[in-house]
Amino acid sequence: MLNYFHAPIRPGEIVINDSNAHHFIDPTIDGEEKKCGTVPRPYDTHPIGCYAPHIKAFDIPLIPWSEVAERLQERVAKKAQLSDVRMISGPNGGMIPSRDQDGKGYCWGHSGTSAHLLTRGFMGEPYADLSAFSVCCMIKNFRDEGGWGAEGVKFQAEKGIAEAKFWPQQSMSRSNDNPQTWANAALHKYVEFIELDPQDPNYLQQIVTCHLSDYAGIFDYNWWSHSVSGADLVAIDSSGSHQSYKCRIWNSWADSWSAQGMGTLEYPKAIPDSALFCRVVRPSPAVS
Amino acid sequence: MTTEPTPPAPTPTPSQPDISPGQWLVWPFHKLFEGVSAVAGRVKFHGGKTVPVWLALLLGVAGGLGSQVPVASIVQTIWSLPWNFPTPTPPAPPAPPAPPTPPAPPAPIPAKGLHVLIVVDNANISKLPSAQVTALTAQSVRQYLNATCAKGVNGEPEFRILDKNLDMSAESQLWQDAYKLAAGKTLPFIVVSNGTTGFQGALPADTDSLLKLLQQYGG
Repeated sequence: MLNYFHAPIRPGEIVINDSNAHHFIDPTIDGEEKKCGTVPRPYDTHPIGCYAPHIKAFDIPLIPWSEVAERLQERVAKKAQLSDVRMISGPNGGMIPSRDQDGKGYCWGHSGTSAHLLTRGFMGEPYADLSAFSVCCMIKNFRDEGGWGAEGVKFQAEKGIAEAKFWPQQSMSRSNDNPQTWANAALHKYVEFIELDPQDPNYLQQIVTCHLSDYAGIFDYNWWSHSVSGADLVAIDSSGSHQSYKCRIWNSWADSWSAQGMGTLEYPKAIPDSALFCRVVRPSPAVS
Repeated sequence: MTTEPTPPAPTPTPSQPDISPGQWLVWPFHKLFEGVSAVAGRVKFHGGKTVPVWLALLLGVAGGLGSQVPVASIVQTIWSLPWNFPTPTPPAPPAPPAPPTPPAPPAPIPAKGLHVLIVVDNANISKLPSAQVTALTAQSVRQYLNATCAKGVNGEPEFRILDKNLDMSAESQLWQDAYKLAAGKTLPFIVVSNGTTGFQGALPADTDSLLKLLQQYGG
């Protein structure tokens, strides 16, 4: 039995931990302000299960702690992580581009959009240039406001998400809100999404099981006031210690941030305050 | 007085040479030596026998060379030679008729080029062996599919990894029909089709065996 495994850090990849985390809260990078925008989910008014039937509670068999390090090692050896899938599932077999919030506080809608794109990549569905602004503008009535990941997921499960051909990236024009847009969005709906209870004693084991099952995560971090897609498991030990957990996230600050938009979080910054995982989206062709 | 006639004297018998059987063997050589010695010098051997000088020299050389022959190794070599005695070979039985080659199954997906569909139960994927789950996203498999599969209307490779019980109404007719092939099958299930023939069955257990199956039909 392998007791611990740590995946390689990608060239140029930012690693965020207690020592440097403060540098990444609403930073200005190359003169451009990068916004966060996550509001902590109020579990008292929005408890686990409140988004049913669109979002189910965690319902899959747990992978034993004794297996996780070996499973991670095998996936890394075969380049079989979702971040690897991303690299060859974009236009013309290239990389799926990162989303870009463009300075708006819409991270909570972009994280779910990135998870949608990773799941389409896993399923072999053609790349679709999904526009998170079609989700966030409708939920917030075109206001630049914060939110939490489950809000965007619920919307994508009910109405879907439009491609940029119908709702251009970063556009906040009300003219995008038309029947053609929503006909297109209906092609791109979440089918199965699960949410994890942060109070569950098996919370971390549930997260690790989802990572190793090719589910794409939506992680809300209250310390960061930010929501990102949880792409990969990076490190874990077989005892299940929280201290050993590291994950690779896919940010929505364009490809120029970190390594093609992806960075690694270390404990304790890596443990999300809210975690959802996408496992199935509606299979559909892309029109753009 | 009567005189008794004298009986005729017996005819003298030619005297036989007093020689042993061994001397009979060398007798021809002895006579040959005598003939040749008449025209050459002679060497007298012990016992009074004489031979020509040239013959004595020749016999000496032959004896010297003969003493150099490795008799033991010659015997060993001869002993080790294969002793193949011709034996009668029974006639070969007539070859049984070749079994008829089963016809290749028809292409499960009636379209040109390689098409691959894998159907999984996504809610139970964590129960599958690690190697089988890894095969679904292994870069070698994905790169092969990207490079080899037929291309869709937007140039995307024609492969899908789908959950069971999906609403396929937004997908192309090709994938809607292919998806029905997995109905009722034990999951994970794979359909491989190259337009001429193909395979339907259980998903191979790991990356290498999945890649081998794909290459069997995709080249």
